[in-house]
Amino acid sequence: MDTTLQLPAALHEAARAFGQAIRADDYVSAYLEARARAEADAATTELEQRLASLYDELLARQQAGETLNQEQRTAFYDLRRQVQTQPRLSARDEALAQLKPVLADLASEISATLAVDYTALAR
Amino acid sequence: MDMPIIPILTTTANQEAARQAARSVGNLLRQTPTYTAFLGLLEAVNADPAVQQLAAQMRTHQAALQMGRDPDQHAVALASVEAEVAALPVVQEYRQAEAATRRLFQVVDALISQEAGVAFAENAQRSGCGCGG
Repeated sequence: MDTTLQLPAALHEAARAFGQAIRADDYVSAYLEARARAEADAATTELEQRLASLYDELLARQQAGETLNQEQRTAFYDLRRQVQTQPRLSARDEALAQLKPVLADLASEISATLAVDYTALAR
Repeated sequence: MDMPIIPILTTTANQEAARQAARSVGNLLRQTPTYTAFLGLLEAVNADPAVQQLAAQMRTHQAALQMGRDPDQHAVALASVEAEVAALPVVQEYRQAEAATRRLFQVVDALISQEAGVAFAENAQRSGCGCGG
């Protein structure tokens, strides 16, 4: 992202106001609370980081031409199941899943004004 | 907090305010010279006879590849036509305008996300239908 790009003042203010309006939404509050609860628990964050590290490691091995054995695959799926069923993480993910249609609805307002898909250009 | 199961079907006062704020952002983005130039070049590319002719050739090669007819020959021909399209001045200008528009939108999105506390565009993208087939 180009951090040096200077936005017109009105656009800068409108973007900030829009962000603040999003934050006032109940679904955003619910997600931010669920995310904070997940991040506040050291065991929960460690579990998620362990899955990310294992995923990166196995992906690197596959990209290097290695075929993963049954033990490695089982270890990955076991850990992923633990993450998916961890109450704080599943609550956070569920809150985000509830929030996404609200954000998509708002993005479609911008896209309709522009006649192009805002999300495709902004990511 | 009691919330409806299907959020998209309900509109709270906050959500309506957010919709209006979204439209304001869209309107102001639309007025920027960067976006105006991008849209103009998009239209110019779509109307360009050379682009249209080459696009028709690309579709022919793509269809042949999908049907598995002389795949090596059509793959080479397709890459050649794609390179020809990319080299057209109007397409190069369009790509530059598109890149500038992306930079603008990304800066705006970072600001929105920072205030919202959640990555906006990343989480606002509608997923595919996932219908299988």
